[in-house]
Amino acid sequence: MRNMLKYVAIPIASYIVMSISAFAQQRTYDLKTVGKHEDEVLGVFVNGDNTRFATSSLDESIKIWSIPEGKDLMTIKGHLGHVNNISFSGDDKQIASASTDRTVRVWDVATGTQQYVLTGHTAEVIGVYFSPKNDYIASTSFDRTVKLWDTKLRTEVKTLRGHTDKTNDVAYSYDGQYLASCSDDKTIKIWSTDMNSKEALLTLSGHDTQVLTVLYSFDSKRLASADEKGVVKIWEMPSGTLLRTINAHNEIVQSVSWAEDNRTIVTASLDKFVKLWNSDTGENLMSMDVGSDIWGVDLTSSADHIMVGCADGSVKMLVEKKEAIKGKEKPKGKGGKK
Amino acid sequence: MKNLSQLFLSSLFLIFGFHSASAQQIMSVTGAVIDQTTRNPASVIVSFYDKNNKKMGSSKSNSATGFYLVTGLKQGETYKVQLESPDYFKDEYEVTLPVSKKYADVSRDFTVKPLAKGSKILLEVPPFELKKSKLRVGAEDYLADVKKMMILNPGVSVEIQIYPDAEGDPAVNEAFTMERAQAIKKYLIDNGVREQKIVLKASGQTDSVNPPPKYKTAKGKRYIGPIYIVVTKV
Repeated sequence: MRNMLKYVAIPIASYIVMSISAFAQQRTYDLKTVGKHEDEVLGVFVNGDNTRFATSSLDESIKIWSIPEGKDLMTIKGHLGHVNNISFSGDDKQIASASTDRTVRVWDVATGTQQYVLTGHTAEVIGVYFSPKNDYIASTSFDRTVKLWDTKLRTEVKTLRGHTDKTNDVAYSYDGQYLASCSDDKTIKIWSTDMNSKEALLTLSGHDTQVLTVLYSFDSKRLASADEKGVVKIWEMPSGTLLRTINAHNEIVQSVSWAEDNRTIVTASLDKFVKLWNSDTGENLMSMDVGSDIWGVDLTSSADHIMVGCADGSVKMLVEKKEAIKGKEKPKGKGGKK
Repeated sequence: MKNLSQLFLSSLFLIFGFHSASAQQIMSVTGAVIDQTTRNPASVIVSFYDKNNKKMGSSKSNSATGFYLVTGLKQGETYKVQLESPDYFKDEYEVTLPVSKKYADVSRDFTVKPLAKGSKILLEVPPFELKKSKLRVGAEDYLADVKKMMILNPGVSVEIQIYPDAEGDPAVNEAFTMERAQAIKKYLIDNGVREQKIVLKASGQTDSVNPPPKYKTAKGKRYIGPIYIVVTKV
């Protein structure tokens, strides 16, 4: 009887519990196309209160869309090159954009007018990110540097050097204490936001190819990074300990984003798939082929809406099925930090 | 005696107050000078000139790091920055310093182009859209750099080498790249560069040194046929 319990009942019970748990964690979405750019969509960014998202494109424009309707609200033009990335300010009133024209530009979200242009990078600008208090903008460029711009003075104030190849992306921690940058040199560097420090605090090695994107979780305790081979890594911060490696995709992953639970991440790739993951366990929560290579992805706080920017110019939205979100807590918003 | 000590103290306050106010007006500029073709550090003389063309500060960038530091500059002023070296084209930039108590220094990086017969300078931001031969809107901003290089260095002659965006019929490709070359030449001549200083070389074959990628490339790495400015006479 004891052996029966040990060898039959316990495994069966465990299997049932695991199955229920796995089933409970699966999330299902409907896919819809909300609009198009005239060329490939490179960047996607959801604002802090989950009411708008912005996209940037090879067509040199930025578009602003409504959530949840997906209505095309505005097209912003002014860059003289591809707009590689975008970032909302913490108060959602401004957008900073990074372009192949070697500039960062700042735009008024309400009117779409250009407020100022930041020049100083000596090659294409790829990554851009507002600091949590909106006092600085960080940008990365193929000139191998990370530059910090004072938003009040509208000028370059500091250059962070240390990467030995093109720098691809940059992100502030939400507590405002750190900056993470990633590079074709296969590393991630963590910098203090203290304006007196010149050297990186940490260099994270582990990716075996170019690291294309980095992003802190909302509690600033984790960092997600992704590379050219589709590998995603989760790091404990500020220690820089590698927590998990996820072989997420078969192609370039240019974009990752965190949900507000600081556990769920979304990844998207040129393999046409958008995927949700539990970063604690590495479990795949959702996987969907959207039919086109994906450059950019972001999601609302509760992950009930996922926005993707595709190489065919389309902007798509994944909406969580209603029966799946019944009884779930109402989204709280990102606290104006993202 | 009491009056004397008061006078002494007041003078001290005045002197230190004035000194401190002056110190707030002063700012340093630091950064790196980079060889545009190799992205390696470059050693050049970096000089800051005020609006009266008076040299206000100068520094030689370090050959190993490219770093320079120029101090004693005034906040709120606009300076002409001149870069000089026997190994590089003379170049000029404009820098306006912010007014702020928050920063003692700000950063500015510069690029320089090697001055040697045969040196091949890639136009990093292509002035054309993919598969288009008409200068794109805003292309003038980037061609202005080439124009400035040729006007500041009047002895220099160049060959503009242009390669197509993709493999294809060589005759069609060559006609296409020649259209691009002509568009650049016209811009330079219209803006004061002498026609005799420019030779065009349009290629029907893609660039063997920097060919179109055969696999998907990451953001910002979209391929447009390379354009080189090759120095033929210095």
